Amino acid sequence: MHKLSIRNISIFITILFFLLFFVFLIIGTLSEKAPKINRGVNTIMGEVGISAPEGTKFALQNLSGEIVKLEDFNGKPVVIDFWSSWCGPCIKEAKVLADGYKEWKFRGVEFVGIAIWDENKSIEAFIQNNDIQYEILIDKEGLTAVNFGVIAVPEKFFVKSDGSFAFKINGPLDMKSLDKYINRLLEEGKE
Amino acid sequence: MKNKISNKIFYLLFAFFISTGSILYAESEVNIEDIVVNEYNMSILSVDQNDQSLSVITAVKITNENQNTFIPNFSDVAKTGMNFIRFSLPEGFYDLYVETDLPSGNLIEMPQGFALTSEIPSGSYNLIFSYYVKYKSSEFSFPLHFPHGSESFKIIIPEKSGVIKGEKISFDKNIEISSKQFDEYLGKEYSKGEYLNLEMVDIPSSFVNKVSSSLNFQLINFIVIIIMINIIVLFFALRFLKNKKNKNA
Repeated sequence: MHKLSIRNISIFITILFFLLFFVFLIIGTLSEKAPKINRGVNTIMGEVGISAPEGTKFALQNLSGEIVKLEDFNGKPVVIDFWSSWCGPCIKEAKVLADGYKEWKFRGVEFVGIAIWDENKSIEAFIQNNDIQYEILIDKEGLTAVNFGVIAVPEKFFVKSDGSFAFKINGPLDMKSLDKYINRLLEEGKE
Repeated sequence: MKNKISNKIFYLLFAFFISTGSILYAESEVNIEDIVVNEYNMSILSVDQNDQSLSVITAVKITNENQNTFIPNFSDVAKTGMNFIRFSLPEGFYDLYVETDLPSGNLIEMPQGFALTSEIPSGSYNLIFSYYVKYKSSEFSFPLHFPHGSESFKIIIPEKSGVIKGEKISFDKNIEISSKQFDEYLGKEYSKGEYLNLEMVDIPSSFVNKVSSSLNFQLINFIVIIIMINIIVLFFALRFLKNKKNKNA
């Protein structure tokens, strides 16, 4: 049996402390790691992660006072657009969505607009000016937007026909990108 | 004759206004004091336990109560004061997003907030801004400055995501949105320049994150180095003593 000498014990303890030092150094470095910072403004555009848990739904009134739920569109892919009549990019995008819906409704795709932090009068004028034919719902206090984890306007959730979220897009779309994303939604819905 | 007199009166009045600067000053006489924040609605969208981050969105309603357009002045801040609209953000915020119906202008980002160079015509305007911020352990504090005051303040947080504390705010109600519960806290009448020291406590935090954020790794590393040096010194001292003993023997 090998006898433990003072020297061996000392070497063992030194190695142990070296190891401890490196373990703490690594943990310390990891815990102090810099966040994924984008210091610029409005840098998170395009596809972004969905923070709302699967199964998040809405039940909101339209301008006629009728309650419309996400479940009402069951079996159909849905594009949910969070917007405001006072938001510049939403104004810019309005015609794209209005025209896009006129094409896509015949292929079974539904659009729902949720007006957040907005006034009924402005919403009504916005619908008329842009000839919007899809359902527009009112979320005056932005509570549904909060529930969906909306961080920008306009923000679109692409929902599969089974009610699950496919992806989320921040910022306004042009017709080409709208078509591209809806085609992707339909593809993902098949899987 | 009458026309001549009225023309003379007009020129005299015009000369008077020009000399006193009243006409040239008419558009710029709106002071930042005329800009009022009517509603300040802050919502904690999500609490990410793994990342230890909060996702926050704020909707603000502002009004220029003056009949004229407010024109910001960045030229001589020391002399004229901060004559522009600005909003407070927690230190370390990232991924800032701002949208407003104010006339176009630039956004100036600062370590603890942002300012807008937009002119503000008479009337009411909306502004939303969202960002992410890290929290440590299970607490988050944010000295929320109201440079333009606020008639009302509301903060919504998902239930069981923490407790909100701060000056003039109290728990108002529990809101249910599509079977998800939120806690709503209200405050009101914050005067211009007032601070609301917002404290968020009992934020859910994973055990590892809680421990790692509560430990001071710099201090631990320093202690480990000191102990190591002591051990090395001790090792050589013992070796020296052992050699000496062997020699003597």
